Order: sequence, then C-alpha cells, then structure tokens
Amino acid sequence: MSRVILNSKEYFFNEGQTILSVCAENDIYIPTLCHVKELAPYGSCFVCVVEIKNGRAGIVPSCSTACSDGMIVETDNERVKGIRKMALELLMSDHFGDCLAPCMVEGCPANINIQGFLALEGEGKYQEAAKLIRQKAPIPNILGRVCPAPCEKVCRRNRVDEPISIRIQKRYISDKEIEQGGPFLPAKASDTGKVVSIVGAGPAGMTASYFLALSGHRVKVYEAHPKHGGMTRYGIPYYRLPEDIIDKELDAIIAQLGVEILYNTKVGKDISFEELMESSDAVLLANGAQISSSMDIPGENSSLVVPAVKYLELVAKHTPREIGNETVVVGGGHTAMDAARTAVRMGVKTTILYRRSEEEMPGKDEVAEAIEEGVEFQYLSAPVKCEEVKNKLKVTCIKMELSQPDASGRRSPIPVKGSEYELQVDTMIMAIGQRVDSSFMPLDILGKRGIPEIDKSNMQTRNEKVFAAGDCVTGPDLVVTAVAAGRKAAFAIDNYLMKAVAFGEKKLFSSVTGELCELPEVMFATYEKKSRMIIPHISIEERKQGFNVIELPASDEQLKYEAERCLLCGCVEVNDCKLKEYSELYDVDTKMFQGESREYEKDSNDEVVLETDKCINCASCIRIAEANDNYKLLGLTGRGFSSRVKPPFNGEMKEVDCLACDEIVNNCPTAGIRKGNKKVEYS
Amino acid sequence: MNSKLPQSVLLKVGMGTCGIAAGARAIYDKLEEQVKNFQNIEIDYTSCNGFCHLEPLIETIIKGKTLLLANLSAEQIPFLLENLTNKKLLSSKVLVIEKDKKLKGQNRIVLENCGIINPDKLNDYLEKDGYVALKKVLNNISPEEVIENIKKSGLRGRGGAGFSTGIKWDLARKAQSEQKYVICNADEGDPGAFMDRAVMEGDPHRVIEGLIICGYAIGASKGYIYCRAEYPLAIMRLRKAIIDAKESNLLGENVLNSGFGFEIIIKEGAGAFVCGEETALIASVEGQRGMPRIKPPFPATKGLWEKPTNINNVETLANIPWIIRKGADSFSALGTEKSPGTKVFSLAGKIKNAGLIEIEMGVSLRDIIYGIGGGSSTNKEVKAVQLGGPSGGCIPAEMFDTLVDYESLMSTGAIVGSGGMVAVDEDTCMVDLAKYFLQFIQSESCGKCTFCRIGTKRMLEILTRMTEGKSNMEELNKLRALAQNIGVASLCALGKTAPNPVMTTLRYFESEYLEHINEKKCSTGVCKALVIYTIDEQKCIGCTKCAKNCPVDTISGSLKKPHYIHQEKCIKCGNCEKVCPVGAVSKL
Repeated sequence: MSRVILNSKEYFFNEGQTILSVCAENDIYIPTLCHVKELAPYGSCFVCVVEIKNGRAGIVPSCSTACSDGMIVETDNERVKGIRKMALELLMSDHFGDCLAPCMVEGCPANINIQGFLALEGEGKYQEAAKLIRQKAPIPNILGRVCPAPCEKVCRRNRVDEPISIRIQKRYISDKEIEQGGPFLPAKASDTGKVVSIVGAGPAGMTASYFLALSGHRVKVYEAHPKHGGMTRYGIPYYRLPEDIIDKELDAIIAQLGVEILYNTKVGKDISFEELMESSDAVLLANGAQISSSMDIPGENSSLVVPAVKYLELVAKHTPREIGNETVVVGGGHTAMDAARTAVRMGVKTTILYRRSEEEMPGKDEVAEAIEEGVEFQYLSAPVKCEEVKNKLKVTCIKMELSQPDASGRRSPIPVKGSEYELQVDTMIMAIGQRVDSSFMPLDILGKRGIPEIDKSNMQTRNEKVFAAGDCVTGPDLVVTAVAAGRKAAFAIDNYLMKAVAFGEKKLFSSVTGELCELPEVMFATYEKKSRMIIPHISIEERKQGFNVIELPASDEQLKYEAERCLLCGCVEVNDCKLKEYSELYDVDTKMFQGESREYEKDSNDEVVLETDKCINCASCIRIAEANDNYKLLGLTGRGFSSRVKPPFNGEMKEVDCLACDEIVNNCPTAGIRKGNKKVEYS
Repeated sequence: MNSKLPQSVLLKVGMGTCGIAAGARAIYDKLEEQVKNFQNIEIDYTSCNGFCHLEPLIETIIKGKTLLLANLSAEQIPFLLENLTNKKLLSSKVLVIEKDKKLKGQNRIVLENCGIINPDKLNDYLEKDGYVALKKVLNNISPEEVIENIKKSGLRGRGGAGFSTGIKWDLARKAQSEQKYVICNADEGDPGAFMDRAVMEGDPHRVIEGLIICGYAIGASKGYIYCRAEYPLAIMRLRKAIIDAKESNLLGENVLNSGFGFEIIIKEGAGAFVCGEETALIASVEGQRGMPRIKPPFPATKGLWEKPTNINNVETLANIPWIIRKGADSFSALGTEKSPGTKVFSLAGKIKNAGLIEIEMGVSLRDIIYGIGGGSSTNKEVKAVQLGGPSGGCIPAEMFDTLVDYESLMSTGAIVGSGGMVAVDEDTCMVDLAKYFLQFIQSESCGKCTFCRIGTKRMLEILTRMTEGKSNMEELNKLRALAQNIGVASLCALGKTAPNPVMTTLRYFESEYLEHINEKKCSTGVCKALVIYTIDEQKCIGCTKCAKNCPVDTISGSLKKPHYIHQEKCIKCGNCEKVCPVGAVSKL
C-alpha cells in the first residue's frame, strides 16, 4: 500500500485512487460541484482544488488527480481557500437567481422568511407560520399591526399588480394562533447559569430576552415604566395596537420562557449601572430613544408646548393630558401622525405643520387615514416662535421652500424671507424627534454623539460585557429594526457567554437578481393579475369616535387568497443548493465580480424545469444521461462564456423525453435542472 | 523574340496563400501567356519562401545567383521577361534582391524546401532527398532505434510546450494496444502565426514523411492530420501529396514493401483555437464537442477512441526526416544545449521584413528584430515583441538581448510558443494589446472551466473599463488576482496561459496601466474613449476643413474664426487632426 500525506497526516491509498476519494474515506472535507461520484471525473468547477506541496507541486482539482506515493497535499490552506472562494464568486457573478426572496433579504430588516410564512398561511398552517416568523422576530402580532412594511416596497408582485399585503398577515397568523390557545413559544435550552441584564422592555429588549432565554440564559429586564412594550405601548396608539395584544405577546415571553422583569425600575436612579454590571455576566442596553427633541425656538418651554412622546404616553396610561380645543402638531413622522390622530380622537381640532412637502412624508397610508379622520395639514411650514397669550398659544410660523436635491437626493427646506404668519391654538405638540437618555451609562461606551457606540456586526460596545441595541443606538427607528437588533445582540451575547467571543450573526446570504425596477418584463408576463386583499376595517365615523382598532380580522379564504398571490421569488432549491452552501461557507461576496451575466431564462416540460439562468455548466445532467445511453437529452451549445446546457440543437424541453430522473435532478449542484413540482420545505 | 538567354531559366512564382493573396495568380497567368514568346524560359510555381513582405515574387537563378524579383505586378511581366539577364536594366523597374542576403542570419531545416520546390510534385521532393529518411528507417532501423535517435537529437515539441518528442514517442510506443494512432496537429490558430500553414503548403510530403516515421516508431497504422478548414490550400496540397505518396507506395498497406502499413486521413477542423489542445483535438476528431479533458490519462496511454495516440505539431514532424537523414548529432549541434535545433517564427506587426524565418535556437531577440526583421516598419521605435500569441507574453525592448530558447523565454514570462512573433511600436497601447489577446481567448474558450469561462470574461471587462477610463486600483488588484488564479485553476493550456499577456504587460508596462487607471489617459492615443481632440484657438485659421470633415458635425465655428470641438458628440475618429493644415488640432 502507498501512502499520501494529507494536511500533515499520513493516509494509505490504493493505486489509482484520487485525492478526493482518499479524503472522502477519511472525512477530510472537500467541496465539489461538478463531481458525480459514479462517473469519470470532469474537472470543470475547480471548487475541489487542493495544493500539492512536493513533486509536481501546485494547485490541482482533487476529483481527478490520482495520489502518488509520498505525495504531500494540503486541502485547506489559505491559497486553496482563496481559489475556491474565487471560483464560487465567479460562478455567482454569472448566476441569475434569488436564493431568498427580496422581501426577506432587502426588504425586512429582521429578515423574516415572508415567502415561507405566506406559504404556510396559505395551507392554513397558522401555528407553523407563527413559529417560522418567531425564528427571526418573536412579536408577530405587534409587527403585523405597526410595521410600515419595507418588505412590501420590494415585493416583486409590484411589477404584476400590487404588492402582497405582507404586514397584516403576521397579525392574522398570530391572531389565529392565539385563537388556538397560543402564542406557542419553543422550548428553551437547559439553564446555563449565566445572567444577562437588559435595560428596557421595548421591542429590542424583549426580543433579546426571548432569544437569550431560549438559549438557557437567565434574563432580567429593568423597565422604567410600569408596563412592558416600550414605544410600542407608550408611543403607538391603541387604535393601531391594542393593549391586550401587547400583553398577550410579551407576557408569553415572561411566562413561557421565565424572563424576569423589574418594572418601575429606572437604571441610574433605582439601581446603578455598576450594580447591574456586578450582578450580571452581560448587559444589554435597549432603553430606546424616549426624550422628545427640542426645536430651539423662543417660547418652546411654555407649558402649552407638549412633547408628543409625553402626550402619547399619558393617553396610553389612560391619564390623558388636557390639550384644549385646538392643537398644532409639529413634525411629519410616524409619531407626529400618531399624536395628531390621537388628538383628533380626543375631540381636538388638529393641524399638522410639516416643513417639507407631502411628498417627503414617510407614511403615505397614514396621511390618507389621518385626512379621513379630519386632521388638517400645512405643508412647507415651520414654527419660529411661541408666545403664551391669555392661556392661548400664539405660534409664529414661516413658509419654506425646498432646495435642489443634495447628493443623497434629499431636498432640504429653506425659510422664505418675510413669509411669517401666525396661528392661534390652545397647545402645540412637538413631534420632531427623540433623543436617547444615556445619562446612566459609563462614558467609555459612548461615542461622539453621546450615545452607545457599537460594533454593528455584533452590537458590542467598547466594554466587551456591554451590548446595545435598538433606538438607543440608532435614534428613533422602526420596531422591526429594533427587533432585528435585539436578536443580533442576543446571538452575540450568547457567543460571548458560551464561547468567550461575541461572534455576530452572519449576514444573510443570497444571490440577488437585481432591483425591482431593473428586472426584465418577461419575469412577470405570465402571472394573472389579482388585486391585493382589502383589509376589513371599521368605518371612518367609528374611527373618529374613539380608540377602537381600525383593522378587523379577515376570513380564512381571504388569507388563503392573499398568501397565494405570492410569486415565490426565492429559489425552490434553496435548501439543496451546493452553490449556496459553499458560498456561505467560503464567505463569498456575490458582488465581487460584476459584468455581463446570464439573463432570465427558463424552459420546462411536464416534469422538469431547466433553469438556464442558474446553471453553472457542470454538465452533470448531460454526463449522467450519456452514462445511461441517452445522447438526445441535453448537450452543450455555444462557446466560452455563452455556452449553455440545452436540449439538442438549441431545441426546447418539451421536445425532449426528460422525466427528470432523480439521478439527474439530485446531482444538479444548483437549480439548473429540477423537478417542476418541487416545493420548498419551510421550517 | 528574345533568344539571347545562354541557358534555360526557370522562373518560380511564389504561390503560397500569402503570395496568392498578394496577387501571384495574376502574375502566373501573365507569365504563362507571355512565356510562349521566349525560348529557354520555363515557369513553375512554388510556395511561400518566407519573404511575405516581398510578395508577389518570382524566384530565379541567373548566373549562379538566386534572385528574388519582388513586389511584382502583372504589368511588369513583359518587361521582366525582356530584360531577365540585364540585371541593371531589370533593377530599374523591378525590385531585385539576392536571396542569400535576405537569408542572412537564418538556418533553414524545416523550411529548406519551402519556396524552392513545387509542393504538388512528388519528384521535386524526392530530388531533395525526400523519403530518404523513410526508406532508411524501414530498411534498417528498428522503431526503438528511431525513438532513441529522436531522443538523442533533443528535439522538443514545436507546438508550444516544448516537451521532449522522443520521450513522448517512447510513451506511446510502450503503451500496450492492438491499435494506436498518430496525429499531426495542424490546428494553428494564434493570431499572427502561419508557420505550419507555410510548411504544409510548401513542403507537404515532408510532413507526411515525418508522420509515417512517427507511426512506424510508435507502432501505429493510422495517422490523422487535423487541419483547420481555414487552410484550404494546405489541405488541397496535402490531399494531392497523400494520393501521390500512395501511388508511389510510400503510403498504404505495405509501405515500400517493408511490411509496414500506414494510412493518413485528413480531418478538417472548424477552426476552434482550443482544438489545438491535444485532448480537445481528439474529441473533435471523434466527432464530439471540442473540449479538453483532464490529463492524465495522457493521450499516449488513452487517446483517440481510447487508444494510445501520439500527437505532434506540423513543425515537429517536419524536423523528423532531416534528423533521420543527417543524424541526431547534426541536429543537436544546432541551437543550444537544452533547446537544440532551429525554430520557425512568423514575424508580424510593426516590422520591416515581415514574414517567415527559421533561426537556430539561442539567437537573441535583438538579432531577430533588428537583424533579420530589419527593425520597425514605422517611424516609431519597436517597444516590445509579443511571443507565443494569446498564450504568450510581451517582452520589452530593454530585454531584447534575451536568447530565443525555451528556458530563457520562459523566464521572461513569455514562451517560445508555436512561433508567432509580433512586434509593436510606441504607438501601441499595451493595455489595449492585452485586451485584444484576452478578447481572442474569451471568444475561443470552450466554456468548460469556471476560471477560463467566467474569469477571463471578468478580466476582459476590467481591461475594457480601464481603456474607457472607468476603472480603479481595486480593479487592478482584482485583475491580478484573477490572472494568478486562472493560471493555476484551468484544465488546459488555453486557460492556464490566458492571463500571460496581461501578466507580462503588467510586469513590464505597469505604468501604462496606472496611467489609464489614475490619469484616465492613454498616451498612445489608442484608447479612443480616453482621447480628447481639441483645437488650439491661437493656431486655428478658421479654414472650416475640420468641421466639413467631421462625420458627426460636432465642430462649430465660422470662416476665419477659431473652431471648437463639442466633446459630447465626438467619436474620436481623428479626421479633424488629419485634415488640419496648420496642426491646430491635438490629442490630449
């Protein structure tokens, strides 16, 4: 018997055995794409390369290089890994497909598997759907009611007719789960004995609690308010997100996972940060951005000028503050809208003052609804001075005009000289932004802006024991963004506690076909137009009269209809794709090499789909067919970069007698050739 | 009627593809028509003698001297015939060159008959000791001895790789099989290379003789000549030669009654560059898609139809009869110790004496470029020479003292290759040149290996962006990384050597790359996207010529007033610069 040295260890081999086969026998990992075990080596992908260090030294494909006595081989050195990575990056640069749907990758900050939960919803599997959402976001119902749904903006269905109504499906799924006795949270791992203290029981803090508790850590949350939920409770009015839903969803985390919350406990006042540090193995700051920003105008300290955050909080606590008969809300964001619509419900005549134009408003639907409810709008206007006059507020405003768009495309407002005018109101609500309270935090973890500075890859501050996530890092942002941050922090904290190094979550890997507007028309041509479901809702009259939840439940049929509108943009082979698996393993940058690429191209017969745009020319299908004496199935056409696997003579799939035998389909390393009826399993 | 000729004179018209393209057919027809009026003048044709820049030409011997009557036109023929013996008068209207002088610096073995014999006449070849080697071998040299001889000669494959021919034959000889094959690789495809074509057109029997000897040595009864269909004349002459050889029992079931049987089949290729690679060539002969496969197994053990097969290039085989005739020692005495013998090169590009040359190995590049080649054909200096086509590399003028042998050239990053040698002058942009070769490789890649299929495409795209001023240093790093990995992670030589032109130009002309990247400038003015034409207001006399000659009407200005080029529409054709009478237009 002859011997070969693989990674400094000696192995025996039989005459003629390839390096790959010796490695396979001895559990030495080598990735392969074009190799088909039963067939003669082909040697085209160059992903299986190894380096021979003696004799005819150099890089060789292991699939087809025979061992020789005394050969010294390295299968995993930096050079080998670099070449594998480049091979994969080159293949990815000519691979037109989406591993995962754009709604999940680009749209959702929390990377919720939208295509997956819609598919399960469509089959009526609500509990499974909720479970799938919870893998990324433990508060589906809250998100399903408040999320501004960036996912819907990138939804490919936009190119057919209207986007899927993604946001509210999360609520419906969760509602159904609650009807069935839910929420059902997963079982948690056994106790690690590690204590994590979390400052703030808002979406970031509660999400982190959820994931940390699942990992078996002891979680203690310090909450300044009397209840959990943070801004979802105290910033978002009940007509959008009712109290009982917050309670249901967050209480489940406490009850089922044993998370401990200390209410009415403000860190820095009721307990010092040092005490927190001493009593825990790790600390997560998730106290949000709860201080109303000031406008820096004369008179804003008047008691008739009310911070929106404060106003909304008092309403939420059922102890509303009196704001007279007429108010003006300054600002154009979600908080301004919530404050205005709350004020209208309290019977106050309300005007929104926004310094930009309608076009720059973030929430279009909200504006429409606010107008329906009677909120008035004054665009291109801002207050410059407030004066209390006989228990009334005289607000001096100035007209604005917009500058030319700057480098980022944003147009900034410029005051128009001499355009001042006056408003007489009872109160003014300030909703121009919020700040972070970092007064209790040690200076060494703060950045230049006086807020926690973190490594975005793992949410860790300069103090390795302290992490920070959510609005306290970003300033006011979306709930779903805070959820994502909370989860990422939990992941890193778990690694910090268990593996001593706080590795962050790996960025979601996906091949991307392109921006919504750039995609070719042919991708959408065959879909039948089906309009978006209409969400049942209460009447405008009812809306104006109080805090009843606007959106109503929908029927199972409606949910099925909407779920089935999904175009299933993510690849059906996503869980069986070697190209993806290796690309993730070798940390491939899909945009490393850009240039001409395959374009959308599919062909099929009754049994099989040939996804030419995803094919990597390994020719395994051709070779397997030929090994079975079928020379008329598929062949290579064209030369070089434009060579393609096609039916003979550039024909069509329906002309060939391909039944997509398992051997061919299973050996395709990507989705180049697959069964037509293949479905993804979401779990 | 001229009857002054003291003895008969033979006029031989060069009728290789190059000569015919230059108009030799008309010359020959005219001669045929006019020669009837002269006694003692015979005409014949031969093929390319290597002096392509002198085509069409007639070779003749007068008063013991071989003369080349060059750059002829049909109208000159009557005058030429009238004054054949009066060299002085003849020279007044016809370019007359002494052949010996033109051959200075060369040593012709492979080309010894090219341009001298009529390739369609077996007798011509026989008169030049043709088939003597074959007779010798069949009469009293065993196959093993033949191989030993070839080994001793030190002959290395002339197709590019430079592997020992003797060892290659030995491997095929030792492979056990009832059936073996020999293949002559005549799939010459590098841009600017035409050595093999010239040999096949000019001395086809020599190739056939080499192939038969090879078949005898390794024990093959069947030989193929794989020649690209773009070489119709070569194929025609080979066909005729095969028929003639059969009739003379030089080919067939019992060659020269020796008991050894051998037949030759010509297989026309469709002109894919990659089919010059042994395994792709075999696939193509078998009727499959021309794609290389992994080696080993080497063709010597598993080749055509899975049988032991020996493949040699045209020039390699053309050396064989000479070595057998003159002895291995005579061959190894030529050239250098490690690279014995001669090598045929095709000189092309910006060089005065473009054509085919054969030199002893070990001559310096300088002797070739400035000696035999006569230096630059333009008023600019020769900047570099590109050797080995798209698989080779560029050698800068500073390194022209490099000797032409396998090892010396390899150390520069270039290769001997099959023998294409393209001179470039200071008007050549090296980035553009690298782009050109990569473009060639891109369209000739078979598409099998990841790195060659996609990697060369990405390299080409980066180079294209460089020549358009749209690149950056990060891309230069990517280009280098790609070049490095493509070179090691491809199956066949096409892929493995594809980055060579980029690698060598980067090594010797990095500053040109940096200029394109950082300054968005191309000093040579070749990269049109980077060129800006402007008019010097001080110099412009307002003649309106530039505006009138602008194909896109992007020059404005009225009579006697300075003109102005609007850059948005300018297509950088350079017309304005050419027509300006006062030199007011300049390239930036």
